[in-house]
Amino acid sequence: MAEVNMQEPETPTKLEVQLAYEGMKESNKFLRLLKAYPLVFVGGIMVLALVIIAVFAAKLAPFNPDTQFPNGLALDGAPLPPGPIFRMGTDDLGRDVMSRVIWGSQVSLEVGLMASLISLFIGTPLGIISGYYGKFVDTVIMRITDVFLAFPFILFVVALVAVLKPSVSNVFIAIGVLGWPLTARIVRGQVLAVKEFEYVQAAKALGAGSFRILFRIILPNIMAPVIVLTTLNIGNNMLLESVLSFLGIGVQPPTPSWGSMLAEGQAVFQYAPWLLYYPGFALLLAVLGFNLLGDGLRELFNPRRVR
Amino acid sequence: MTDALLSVNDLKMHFPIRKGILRRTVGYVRAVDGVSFDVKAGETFGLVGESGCGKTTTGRSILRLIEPSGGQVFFNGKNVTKLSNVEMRKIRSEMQIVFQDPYGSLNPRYTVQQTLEEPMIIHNLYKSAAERKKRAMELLEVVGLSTSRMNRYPHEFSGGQRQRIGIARALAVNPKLIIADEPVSALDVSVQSQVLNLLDDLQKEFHLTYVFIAHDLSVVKHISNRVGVMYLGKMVELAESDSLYEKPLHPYTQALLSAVPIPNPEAKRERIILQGDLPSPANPPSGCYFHPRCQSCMDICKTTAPEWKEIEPGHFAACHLYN
Repeated sequence: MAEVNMQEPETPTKLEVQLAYEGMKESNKFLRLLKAYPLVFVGGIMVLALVIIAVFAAKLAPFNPDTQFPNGLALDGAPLPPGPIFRMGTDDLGRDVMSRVIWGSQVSLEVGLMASLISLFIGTPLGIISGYYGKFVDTVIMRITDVFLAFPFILFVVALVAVLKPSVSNVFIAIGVLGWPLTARIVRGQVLAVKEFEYVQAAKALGAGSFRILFRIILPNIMAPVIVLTTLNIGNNMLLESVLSFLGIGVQPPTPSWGSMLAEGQAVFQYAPWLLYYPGFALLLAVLGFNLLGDGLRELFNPRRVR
Repeated sequence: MTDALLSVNDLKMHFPIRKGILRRTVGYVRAVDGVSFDVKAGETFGLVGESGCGKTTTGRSILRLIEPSGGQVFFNGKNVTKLSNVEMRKIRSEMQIVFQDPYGSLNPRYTVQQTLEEPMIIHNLYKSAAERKKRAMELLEVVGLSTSRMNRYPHEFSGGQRQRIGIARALAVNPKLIIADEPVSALDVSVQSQVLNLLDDLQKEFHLTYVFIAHDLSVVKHISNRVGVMYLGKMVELAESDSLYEKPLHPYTQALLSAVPIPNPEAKRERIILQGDLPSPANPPSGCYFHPRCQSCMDICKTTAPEWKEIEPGHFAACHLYN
């Protein structure tokens, strides 16, 4: 070029360079993401596998999880180690561990998902209102969260189970109801940060109503951490379910759940360690899957992602 | 004045200072303390002053982005401070704001198109999505951006381009008044002039009225018809732009103007250097707020607040020197 172009870069020109990704097909986009964030896909596949196992438990499980097989115990009454018939061995009642692990995924997934959704749907609106309106509303909502956060978790569940019957739904209600303050806190903090941005002021200046500002402007801008939190919560809530079941106040026998399997297995684990390995490993993979997915979603929801 | 589009009368914005567990109010920060001015339709009113003097707060309380604690704002004859929320929302289409920070004023999750269409959706300006899109494209052309970038996000633009998008958004509702809150101070000098010229062109094209808030006197001189100088929440001088720059009356204005660089290294002039810091607006000095830093301070200045007077036709000031 003989002449340096001093024109301002903003002037519209016909010769604008088209960025490569603009004309790209969806399938290419997908491949590009796969390359850039392999761990999201690992997490996604693990979660997907869990969902498939839970949904098709009846087809996938080789045996009925509750049947006590006469041939499922050794002659001295000890559980059988993994073998050709019972591929993950049997427990001390002669039940097939593999079938129980597969059926247990239903309880874990149900509790994990439902409890997180309960926390999400209670915590998010309260957090947004608390953060946006501030002052008296904020004080009231935040003191309520303090009360909930101060509540001893086990005590609450024991009380709930004493009043109602211990069941899967009561477990996730208990976990969800005690989990919302954390979501509300995080949402509130995000709102406090986001509401100071001038684009929120700009929306107000444009005449946007409170509802639009709260749910169209602020909510999308705080969703990334909330989604990550919720996904991570799913994993945590699965762990809590197993804690409760382990303590005997969660899912009641004979319903198979990973936590109750660990509880039952711990008595005999010295000579039958497979009773802990398989449900423990299943729990580990499920929680890991949700955590990886959560981290990856944060990237995907970020419009500034570089790759 | 009856021909004023915007008339600000004794506007006050006092922020309470709360202390202790009972959050009792122990005092007020007088961010804006009785500011009055009129802006005629089609003119540009510059508002200058150093950091913390209440320029931005004035701008925002005119739009009721923060609720003023006293005084009235008349826009087109209507008392804005008395309007209900619903009425306020309607009138917002006529008065818009362009923000200082082009990085914070655009929603990072909206594409340019969404950003520009949002005000149209709020005010129900166009029936169909196609009409809105057409209008958004027009707006982009008006502010000199390529319409091929409609689907980009704000972070893909430079500061100057973002400020243009911010201006386009303000124009989307066909406002009469635009409050420009330091629209160029976050920009590079070369880009500043482009944006200023754009504002100038838009004013001619759409008969806009501006309240132009800035701390840069040369910028204000370039664009304003009349200029108001603020100090510690009060207006100290108000005049036609030429008259203010040629013959500043208030010692504070004189000091400010002496700080404007002259693009001539040979030129010599007396530089007035203000002593001390800006006093706290929570605990302003007695009498004239400016007296502790004033070169021409007299005894009366320490005890009595000066009156706001028209010293020459159209040239107002609040200073005991001219009594």
